[in-house]
Amino acid sequence: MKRTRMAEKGQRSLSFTAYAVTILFTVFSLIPVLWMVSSAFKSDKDIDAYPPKWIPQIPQSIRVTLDYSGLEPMEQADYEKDAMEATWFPWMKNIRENIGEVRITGIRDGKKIFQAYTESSSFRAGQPSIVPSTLFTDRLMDRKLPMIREKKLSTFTWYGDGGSDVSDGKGVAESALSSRFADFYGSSEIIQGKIATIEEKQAWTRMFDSFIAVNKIAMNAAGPLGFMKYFINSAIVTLSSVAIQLFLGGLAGYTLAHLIANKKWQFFWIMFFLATIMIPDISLLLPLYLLMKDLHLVNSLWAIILPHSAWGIIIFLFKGFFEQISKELLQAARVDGATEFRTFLQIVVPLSVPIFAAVSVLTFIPVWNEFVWPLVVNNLPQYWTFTVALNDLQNQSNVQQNMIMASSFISMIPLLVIFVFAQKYIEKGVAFSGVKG
Amino acid sequence: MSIPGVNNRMTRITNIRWMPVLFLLPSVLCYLLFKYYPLLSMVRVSFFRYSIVNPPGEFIGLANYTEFLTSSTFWQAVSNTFVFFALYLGLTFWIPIVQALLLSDIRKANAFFRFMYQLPTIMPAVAGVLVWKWMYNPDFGLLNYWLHFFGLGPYMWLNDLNITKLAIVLPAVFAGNGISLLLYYSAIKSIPTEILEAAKVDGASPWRRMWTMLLPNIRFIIVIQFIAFMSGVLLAYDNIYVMTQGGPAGSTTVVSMLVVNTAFQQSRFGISGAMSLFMFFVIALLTVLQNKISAEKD
Repeated sequence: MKRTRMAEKGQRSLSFTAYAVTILFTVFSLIPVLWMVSSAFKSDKDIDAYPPKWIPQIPQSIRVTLDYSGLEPMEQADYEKDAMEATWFPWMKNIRENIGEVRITGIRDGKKIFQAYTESSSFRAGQPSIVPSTLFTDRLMDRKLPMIREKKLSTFTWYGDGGSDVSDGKGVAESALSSRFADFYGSSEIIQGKIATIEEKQAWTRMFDSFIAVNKIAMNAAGPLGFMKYFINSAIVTLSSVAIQLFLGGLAGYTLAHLIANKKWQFFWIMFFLATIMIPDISLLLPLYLLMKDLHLVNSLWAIILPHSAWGIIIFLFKGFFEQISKELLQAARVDGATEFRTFLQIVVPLSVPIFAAVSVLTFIPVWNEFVWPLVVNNLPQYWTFTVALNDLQNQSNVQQNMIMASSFISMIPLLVIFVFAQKYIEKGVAFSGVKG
Repeated sequence: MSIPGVNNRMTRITNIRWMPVLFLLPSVLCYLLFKYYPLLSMVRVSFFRYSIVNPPGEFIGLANYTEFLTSSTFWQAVSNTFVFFALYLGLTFWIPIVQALLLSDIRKANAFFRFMYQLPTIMPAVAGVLVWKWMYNPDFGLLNYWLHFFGLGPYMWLNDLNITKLAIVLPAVFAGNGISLLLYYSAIKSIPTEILEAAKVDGASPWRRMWTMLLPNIRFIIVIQFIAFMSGVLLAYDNIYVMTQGGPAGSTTVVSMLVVNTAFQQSRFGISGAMSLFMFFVIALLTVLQNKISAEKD
């Protein structure tokens, strides 16, 4: 301890540089990640704010009271339609605002007659079909009301005559958002109720609605599992690909390292596998697609998994590692009468855990994040992996940035977990696999 | 054949000869089916004016090749590709090497820093590009906001012909390359400590040791990484596509983009196959050249 301290000249400047550069790099590389995470909780208006805002704001709960006193008598369905118009139309008009929920309370002659409640996730998921544009008409809501009911996008509670008394409200809250809502009700020919009060409160439970909205959209496309379905697909594809790579690549790597004595043949087979690294994946897109079509595998998870069985670099890594296992050990096993396959399973594999771990992780990431091939080969949503779903989400004209950020954030979590637990193995495997020369 | 001893020897011989075949066969079949067969069908298609309705269509010999070799769009794309290659080489390739060298000197929180370096790597590419598109936004993007403190800008990052290429490379500078870093770092850590101790006793300073001991000792992995880097950069597609779609005015159109566009937008599979074959040969040639050079150095 003492010796290193006094002997090293230049150690201090090196350590200082090392820490400074490392911290600088990690901070810089974290900026996009942090921005993604914080944007997942922001409204689009805040995402595009200038100067940039880093801290997400708590969404607003807007509570509107509409007074129907003095109007012609109406049916329950008419009230419901009016409430939906009073929810969806002004919300669409202020779509970029940070609105977490809208509550509409209807009163008549001082008594509460209904309450309607819509959360932001339902609005985000339903908005493309319910209010696709800002052309609001009464006829539009006639057509959309059944959809709102069927998908349970808004809840409507009817009290009728049994409603409680309502005390006088405090008028319209003093905020830009509330007054825009009030202006909308005031100038609208469509909404029948007269604006009594608008209150605004913070609704922090609605911070996570971008995540819920992503799930609701996915449920429409891929069935009741929602976004989980894409994750399950991605998991099946990734785990099967890794398993196939470990098994086939391990066997082939072992054969190249120990079972082919003839140097010329060994070189031939190594080149046979390694040369494929240079074939541009993109140029194989079309012939591979036609091949999958001939095999009747288009629109199945197999179509994504099978091409991963041919990754040149995997065999190369395995071979590099296996070469370091002593021939004498293997010979001893053979003399004992073990078959080659048993030697491989019971002697080689247990000695080679690091390389198996390293290969798993090194292939997990690119397969998990793979995009172009799954996009080309599967066009039915139930066979999508999450990357394809993510891209689809981005291409839908009405989807908001915070939802894209939310789904990206979720998709990072599996890799994050793997890295936390497997980092040690990856490093070990990489160090052993012959790349050190 | 009925003599027991001979039979025994026969089976042993067949045992030894057939096992490698059996072990290699599944991999060989997979490679033939998913790599070599598509490659050959691509070569074949490149001699045809491909028609989807009636494949493969009319045989036109080398016409596809002469067509793209004489088109200025193609050579523009080739030049773009190599400008990108130079930019990536100059701005990004050395970064994980430097990071790993410096990281190897860090004692405190080393694992933490290694983990932090991985974070950008595990961010989905689509999300990464979206974030960067926002950072580049001329009106409210983060980069112009920061640069205005220094009296610079505003820049039209993705619309200015002069800096679009730089704008595409810049995210890789920021994010580094987590996997490469890990490879370099592990290689450094596997250098025997005796060598370093000996150099220390000889009075080599830490900086000198880094330069003359660590760096040469990881040369092999730098070479391997360079090969992967080369084909990766020369065939880069995803990030450029999502960022600029090849614009503005074709200034970021690379050959791989031309390959995809002619195939999937114009349905001209023949010429697309011919162009990707061209890229295959360019990369193979460069790899061989590069191997020769590094072999001579040894």
